[in-house]
Amino acid sequence: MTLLSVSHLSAALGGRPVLHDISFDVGPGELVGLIGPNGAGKSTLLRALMGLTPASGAIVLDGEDGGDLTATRRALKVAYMAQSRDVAWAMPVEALVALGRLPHLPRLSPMRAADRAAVDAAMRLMDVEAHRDRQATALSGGELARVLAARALAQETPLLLADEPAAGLDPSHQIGLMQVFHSLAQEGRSVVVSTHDLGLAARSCTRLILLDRGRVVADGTPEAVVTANNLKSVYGVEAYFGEVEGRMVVLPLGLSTPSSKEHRA
Amino acid sequence: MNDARRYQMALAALTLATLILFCLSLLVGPAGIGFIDSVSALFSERRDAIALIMQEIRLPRALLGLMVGATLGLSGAVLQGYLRNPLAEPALIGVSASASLGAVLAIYTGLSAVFPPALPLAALAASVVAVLIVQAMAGRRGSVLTLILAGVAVSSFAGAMTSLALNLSSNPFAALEIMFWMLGSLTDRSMTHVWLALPFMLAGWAALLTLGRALDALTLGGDTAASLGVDMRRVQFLAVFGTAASVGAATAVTGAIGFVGLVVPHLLRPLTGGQPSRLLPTSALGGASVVLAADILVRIVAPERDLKLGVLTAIVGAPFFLWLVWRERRKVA
Repeated sequence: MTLLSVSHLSAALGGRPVLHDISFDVGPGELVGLIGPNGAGKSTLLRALMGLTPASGAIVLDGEDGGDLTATRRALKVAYMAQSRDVAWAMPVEALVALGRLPHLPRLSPMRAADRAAVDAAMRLMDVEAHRDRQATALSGGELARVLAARALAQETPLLLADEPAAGLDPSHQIGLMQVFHSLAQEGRSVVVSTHDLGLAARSCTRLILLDRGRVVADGTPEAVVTANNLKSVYGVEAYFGEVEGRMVVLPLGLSTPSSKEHRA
Repeated sequence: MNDARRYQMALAALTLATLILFCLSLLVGPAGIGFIDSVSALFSERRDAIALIMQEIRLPRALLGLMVGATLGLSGAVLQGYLRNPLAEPALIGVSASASLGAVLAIYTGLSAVFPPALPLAALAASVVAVLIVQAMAGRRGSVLTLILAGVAVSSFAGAMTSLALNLSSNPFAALEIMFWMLGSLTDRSMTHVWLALPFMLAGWAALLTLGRALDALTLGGDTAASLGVDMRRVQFLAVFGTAASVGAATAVTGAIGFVGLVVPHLLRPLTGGQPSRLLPTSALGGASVVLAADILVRIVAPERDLKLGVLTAIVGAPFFLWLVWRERRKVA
């Protein structure tokens, strides 16, 4: 059984091909890290999965063809955290998190007890309860990132796609965020999260997908994907590899010799 | 005081203010009619002078003030929410300028002198043409930037054609009439104007008022709104056609009344906890209050000189807007 199935997905932006023939499945319980250098196509892939960027190929979300889903039905199956954290109006945090309940609310219905409970639970998970009444536009970057994550959690979907949700968070909240995603996965949901933090991805994700120039270069366990060879050929960096309490530790140290990078190009 | 409570208070206060100003608008005028006489004349079957003044002059004037103000406030709130920009206003999509052009052409050709309803009808027709052009330009995918640019282009063209009509006007009285009409006023309107504008306004309001939740979601940007189940093409269609129908009808019967659609949503936003859905009813009531108050003021300040409503709203609105910008600037700094 899969919650997300992608086959032969290709997409172009402004006439330039960005994604080439991408296929993968994500099942319940998986926390998938989407990694790759700048411009590899991570954000475009997530946007294409959400139907925000036109793409060819097939996307099946929780058993239903992505192309046939109405906007509301899609919103009940998959939540999306955009990379942009732009909030237009000075809205209180609680109201902003409550936007995650929109797909669940019948027309003209106010928030019900279950909706309020979901909003409270999401705020508690992301440690933003104390900011409940503050204006979202007056928060720090990291606080806002957590509020937006709470907004996506409040949507209570089986599938969550997050575009660099950990960027700008302090270490404790980065780890906290990944732990929340991990517990969502353990409940039987799926989370796909893009990130540039290889160490965080290797430590926390159950599986990594490495993208390079619009293609899937590697797909598997963190140990199988984050290898010295892959880091050198895709990112052009040398890294330290280690292990703490059975979990992989990876730390990029420096640029690999110029020749190997040129060789790739 | 929490947010929801403050919003309910604001809504109640604005409803009360609108009601009071509507009644005041019925009571103020050059013919000094007592309160009891006015009210009884309003519902009287007799056809004496007082009944005529109340039913044929003051009632349509007050009704139009209410309708036009609500239209400007509501459409301003929707466009600011849809474009995610506090500087958006109903005139942005080119409907006001085009409606003005339609009216000007009706005056210029002399059609309105022969058949008075031709003026608002021509204005409505012109705003329909404008919105079709703007919507066609923005296309099915509906980029916000294209919509604004198309609106600017249509506005400029309509403005230029209006200038041309003034330029070529052989008769100084026609030119004067065009100028005066363009200043925007509620003076000497009849129930015909009310009945002409009402269906378009009701249709427009109905479209705009369905957008509350979508506009809330748009606070987080178009992508997030779409991921929350908002159909962005539908939102654009309803925002553009709702504004066109209601503002087109408003401009057709009163001429251009500036600054209300810009300043009122801006001013009331803090009372709504920044939630665009709450801004829709508040801004509609606020717009109605402002236009009714301005129209009363016009009658009090210069009863002999026929001061135009649009002139007053701009004179008061522009410095006020400058003050708002000043306040925002201090907050940012």
